[in-house]
Amino acid sequence: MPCYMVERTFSTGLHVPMTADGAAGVQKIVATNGEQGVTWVQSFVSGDKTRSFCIYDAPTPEAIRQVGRRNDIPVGNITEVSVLDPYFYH
Amino acid sequence: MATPALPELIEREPALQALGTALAHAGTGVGCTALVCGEAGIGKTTLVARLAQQAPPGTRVLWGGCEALFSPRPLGPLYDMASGFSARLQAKLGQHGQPGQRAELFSGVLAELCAPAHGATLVVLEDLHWADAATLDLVKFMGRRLQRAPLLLVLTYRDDEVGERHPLRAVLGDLPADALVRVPLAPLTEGGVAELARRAQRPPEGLFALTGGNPFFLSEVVRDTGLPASVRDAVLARAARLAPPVRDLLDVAAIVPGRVESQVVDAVLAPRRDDVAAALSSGLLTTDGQHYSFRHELARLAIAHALNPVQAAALHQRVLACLEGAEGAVPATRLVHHARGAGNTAALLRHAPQAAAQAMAHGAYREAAALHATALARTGQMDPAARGQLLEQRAYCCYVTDQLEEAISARLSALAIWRSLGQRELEGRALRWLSRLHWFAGRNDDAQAYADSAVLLLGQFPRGVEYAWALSNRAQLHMLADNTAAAVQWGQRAIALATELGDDEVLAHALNNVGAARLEAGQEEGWQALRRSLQLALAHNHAEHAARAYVNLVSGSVKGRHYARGLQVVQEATAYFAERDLDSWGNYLRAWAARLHFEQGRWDQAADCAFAVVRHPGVAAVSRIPALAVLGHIRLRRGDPGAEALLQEAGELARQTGEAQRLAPVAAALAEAAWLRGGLPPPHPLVMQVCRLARQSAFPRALGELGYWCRQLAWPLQEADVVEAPYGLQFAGRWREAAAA
Repeated sequence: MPCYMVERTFSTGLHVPMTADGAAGVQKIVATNGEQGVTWVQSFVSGDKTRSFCIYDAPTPEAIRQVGRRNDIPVGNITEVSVLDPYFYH
Repeated sequence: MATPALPELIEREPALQALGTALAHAGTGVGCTALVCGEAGIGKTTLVARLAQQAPPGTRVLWGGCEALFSPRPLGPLYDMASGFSARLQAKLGQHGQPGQRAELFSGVLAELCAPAHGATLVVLEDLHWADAATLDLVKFMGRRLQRAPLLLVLTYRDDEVGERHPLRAVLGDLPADALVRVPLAPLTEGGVAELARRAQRPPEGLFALTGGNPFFLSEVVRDTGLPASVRDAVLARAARLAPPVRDLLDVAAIVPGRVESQVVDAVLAPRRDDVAAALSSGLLTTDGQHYSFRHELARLAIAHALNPVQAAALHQRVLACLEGAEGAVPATRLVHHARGAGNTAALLRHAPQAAAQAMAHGAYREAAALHATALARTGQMDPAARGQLLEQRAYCCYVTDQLEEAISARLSALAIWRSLGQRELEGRALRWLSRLHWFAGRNDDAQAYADSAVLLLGQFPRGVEYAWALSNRAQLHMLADNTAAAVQWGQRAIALATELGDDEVLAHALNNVGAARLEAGQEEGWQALRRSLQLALAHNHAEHAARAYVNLVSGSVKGRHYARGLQVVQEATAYFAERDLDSWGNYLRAWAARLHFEQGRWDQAADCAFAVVRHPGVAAVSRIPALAVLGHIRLRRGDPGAEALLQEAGELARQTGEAQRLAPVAAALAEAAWLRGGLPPPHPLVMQVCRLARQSAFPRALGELGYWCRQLAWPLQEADVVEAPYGLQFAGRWREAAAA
């Protein structure tokens, strides 16, 4: 399955509380993603929390946009990426 | 895992080789998941233990298993292999209660499994049909992330204990297909069983029938230390205790799927009342007074598989004779089942074509094509003309279910038969069909050549219906190449001949070609002709012609931007195709629906339709091209990855067809891509090819969207080139008028 970097912009900032509510919200996203064969692997969030860079496994970029719409989270640029691990270079 | 004394493997070489290859790939950093499945006792553990034993030096092997507990231990298999992990990770294993901690634990497991200090790692998780939910989550987590890891994950499970709703099935279904190796293990063959018996210095007689080739059961039998407790073995053990006449009754019931009429059993066996009573009281068989059936399908299969082939064939023959002599209609597929089981070629040749005809009559073309193939594989002594007809039927069924290469192959075999028999009209018909099939496969030059040959040959029979077909086919190819005048001229000759002959089918076909050609040229009477063609086809149940009328109505509506009426036809046609397994038409329609949604700005729906076509590599080029063009165009406009590759493939396929209707949408997307990249790119050759075709057809529409982009890019248009109104107005900045046009 291809791997994608998804860039998102949150004008009022991304806030996911470290509470049961936050966990439930994240689980709901994961469940919706699963219905389209999309896996949220991990995300990197800017210091001011207005931008995120998310690594996704997905069958197509369209699937990422569809679950983005269903989860009501913004989808900006999508780039297909592969892993480069500096520690494999010895 | 220490496995000092593994039994010798029999008939497992291909399976072991598949796993060995996967492990070798893992050693090069390309990981995957291997699914080793089969019934209890089939030898899954033995196989995987042998793989571990033969693994290259330096391979790390970790082994975990699930157990048939009332409530399984969460992550039980991970605990089994914990000693292979670092102390830090082992500590984490005890604290995975919270969702966040579990994700951390899984990541830690994967990181340690992939640590570059190690060579390849073989992880075996056994008996996943008993797995707990957490273990299944771990499987999913690892299975999705090991493609670039030096890891082979082997999962074993009993596939006969994993029903449709079993959670394992959902997990396996979600694993990436490109990193999956399936290793299903079948029971040993009679030869394999004999070999096992020879090694155990036991006589082989009866072993195969008794054990059904189950290696564990066999090994127990040759050791004579009791019986295993699987469902299959319990059934066989129970059956083995029954008196022979009672067992005979079970055997007859076992070869009839579903249920068997008591009359059939009476006719075949004439069982004594006591024997029937014994079979029923054994708990294996039940009755509703008129039929017998097994209490469970697994039990029927266990008995049926345990019958030796000679016994089974004899029973099938007796049931077949009984059903053939029965009063009332017996479904031909049932007769085919027993004819196959009996190895009775003559009966198979009697019933398979009949069953295929019944399937075709119900619109089940895929099943019909398979039945034709069954009969054709055994037509050594068949009359060539009958074989030719069967080949033609198969060709047709393959054609409507999008198996084009099979259709062409069958049609070519039929052509050779008609030539050898000197059947000129039939030869001409085969040529005309080959023209159609090659067009559908996107090989237009071949299609033209076959069309010309058909017209030439059938011209010898100028009052024949086959000549009318050849004329109409000729009209069709002109229509597809946007030669309106020629299409109408050839089509009207076909209409006149069809009317004279009173043949509704050719009439529907010819009306379709003339209608589509006119609709393409923007002539409204084309819509009326197509509608009339559709009505004729529906009234006479000509599914193929109805389908073509539907898609031409849709494509004509989209090209003429009559979107509302186009969408209405899409809905009508979708229902019609789905009911009848008309897969190839369904794909073609879906590709046009994608274009319709795209042009109206419904990108999600357009992408859904297009992807549904593109994801299946076997779909015909004429369907694949427009779907690729739409999906590529959407990705281009969204800035999403993969646009270029899709458009490139669409361009290559479209170029082979040489048709403006396939090329133009691809050319427009390529021109837009050039404009988005900026600068002053040189004219794209494919775009220039479409401009030339557009000039030949003299349709202003052909230079619509494409003409707009050529002007934006200052690519050379000729003075006489007219850019269709909305796009011409858009270029002139008159967007309000453009929208209204």
